[in-house]
Amino acid sequence: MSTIKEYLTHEHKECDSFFSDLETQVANREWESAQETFGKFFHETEAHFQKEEKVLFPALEEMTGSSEGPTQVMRMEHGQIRSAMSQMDQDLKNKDVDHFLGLSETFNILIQQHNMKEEQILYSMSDNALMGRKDQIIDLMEHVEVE
Amino acid sequence: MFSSNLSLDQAPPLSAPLRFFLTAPLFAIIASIFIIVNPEAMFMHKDLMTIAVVHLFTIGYFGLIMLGALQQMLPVLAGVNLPRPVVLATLSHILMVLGTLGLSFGLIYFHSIIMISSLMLFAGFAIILLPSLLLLLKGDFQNPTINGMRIAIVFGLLTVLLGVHLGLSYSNYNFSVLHQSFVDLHIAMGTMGWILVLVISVAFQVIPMFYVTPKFSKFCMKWPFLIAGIILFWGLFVFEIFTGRVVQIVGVLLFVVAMSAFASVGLKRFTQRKRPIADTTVWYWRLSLGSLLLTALVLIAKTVLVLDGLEYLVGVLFGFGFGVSVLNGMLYKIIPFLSWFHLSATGRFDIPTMRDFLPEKGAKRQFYLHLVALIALLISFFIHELLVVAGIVLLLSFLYLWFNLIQATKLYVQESKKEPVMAGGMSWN
Ligand code: HEM
Ligand SMILES: [Fe+2]
Ligand SMILES: [Fe+2]
Repeated sequence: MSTIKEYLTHEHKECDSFFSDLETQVANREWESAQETFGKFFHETEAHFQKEEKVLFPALEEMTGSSEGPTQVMRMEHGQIRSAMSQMDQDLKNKDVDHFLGLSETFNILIQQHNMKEEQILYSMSDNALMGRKDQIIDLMEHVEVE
Repeated sequence: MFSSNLSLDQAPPLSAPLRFFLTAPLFAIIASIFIIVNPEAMFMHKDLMTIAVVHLFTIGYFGLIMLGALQQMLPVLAGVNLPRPVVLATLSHILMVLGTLGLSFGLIYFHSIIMISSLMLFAGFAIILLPSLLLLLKGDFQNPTINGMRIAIVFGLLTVLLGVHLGLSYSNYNFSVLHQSFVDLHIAMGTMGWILVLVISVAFQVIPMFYVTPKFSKFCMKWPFLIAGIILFWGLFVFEIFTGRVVQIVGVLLFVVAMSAFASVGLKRFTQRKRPIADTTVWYWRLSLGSLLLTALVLIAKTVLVLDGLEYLVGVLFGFGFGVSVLNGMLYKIIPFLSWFHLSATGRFDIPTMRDFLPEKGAKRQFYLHLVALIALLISFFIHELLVVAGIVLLLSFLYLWFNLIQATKLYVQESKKEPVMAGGMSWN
């Protein structure tokens, strides 16, 4: 059975790969495939965020007895990333290549920094702190209902 | 479990790093003017004008930009934040600006201010580097970038300390018998220990992250330690504890191997990008790593073939080709990103994108000027008369860069004056 870190890091990689496909398709003005890729990319990212927000973060917050601090910052960053994604969606509809690429640049840095903090700091902590419940947590994340 | 100094908090206020980024080009501009006014000096090793130009670049450009970037990177890389960021930034920045001007003009015109300027520089570096080092040592997290940064910061502080000693020697024109040994160590620590190790450590994170490439291998991640070892070995040579030509050649070849290993793996990563979009910063990275490879070649020629007078080429290739290129590429990413980021943190919605802050067209044109400047500087090695022209292109390339950065800042200021669009303004800071 994998660790929490491995499980979630793998999802980051999957989202990355959808994202670079998406960006390439927009740069080449392949609007139809871009729309389709965006759908998958958006769904994967959203599902991943909700696994963290509904399962992992609450579990960590329970351990520390506080909903402030690192998990709070991660939630806020999800907000920023979501807002960038919804604008990218808008640009796709308007077929605005320049605006999209300006935004996807920002999106890439935001998500990479965010993932890096999680992979190097938060996930490692989670594996340490939630050691005994690791399998249960992964199972809960597998079955999260994505809204 | 969450240690007290851990904060995944986002970033220090924009003004803290930005002042470093926006003033650094000024020193490169002064250096270009020195070159235009007194080109012949650049080919004379140890000319005070040359030493001044070298420090306008190593301290005024590289030093300032890296001090700014460090403040920005600590929270992201290590989950730590400098305390009182604006106070530290203000103090350090004032000392660095006055110190750099004092040292460079002092070396040429007024020796009496060299000492005080050196001390100001030491303080200016230490105000940011010491707390950063302590935070990086205390932090609970280990990664190759953090390890590399610790090493680079230690060498940076040692370089500056040795610099103060050299500055003292120049201010009262009293040189110890060991002067040349101190100089050689100062140079090795400054270029290999501080500049190279810092760039390598940043590259470990930034290249895979910004350009979505495979990570550097476990072995590559050990480079900072290996380079630290080579510098210690070199130190024993320059202080004549180890002697002989063989030792010298071995030492230089070790540096050469380290430089070319990093440069070639780095260049390879840029062929493995999953994000195929090649903006100007990709070209800056390539030029930088390519120049590093050439530096290694020239170093071999210099030591093994004992060709004299190659210091100029080494300086141009390493300082400008490698150092300035990588910094320009970094600035072109950092400034538009931070501008966007800080606006978005105040809850605005319809913010200009990174490309609005730094239009790709302007960045690309500036890159071409930079490239022409590098080529002209290299040709000037063979045709000394050309250096004036090279200096003028150099000056133009930095003026253009400065213009680009100021345009971005202007747009930021203009946008930040607008009322947040979203009612209530979700605050992300
Ligand atoms: C307080 C700060 C510093 C002071 C006062 C200082 C002072 C000096 C002095 C007086 C020399 C001339 C030595 C000689 O050849 O007799 C020198 C050389 C040199 N320094 Fe610094 N230095 C400082 C910081 C740095 C830093 C941070 C670097 C970064 C790489 C650096 C790189 C060099 C290089 C490459 C040379 C050789 C220049 C040449 O031979 O033309 N210095 N330094
Ligand atoms: Fe997340
Ligand atoms: Fe995540």
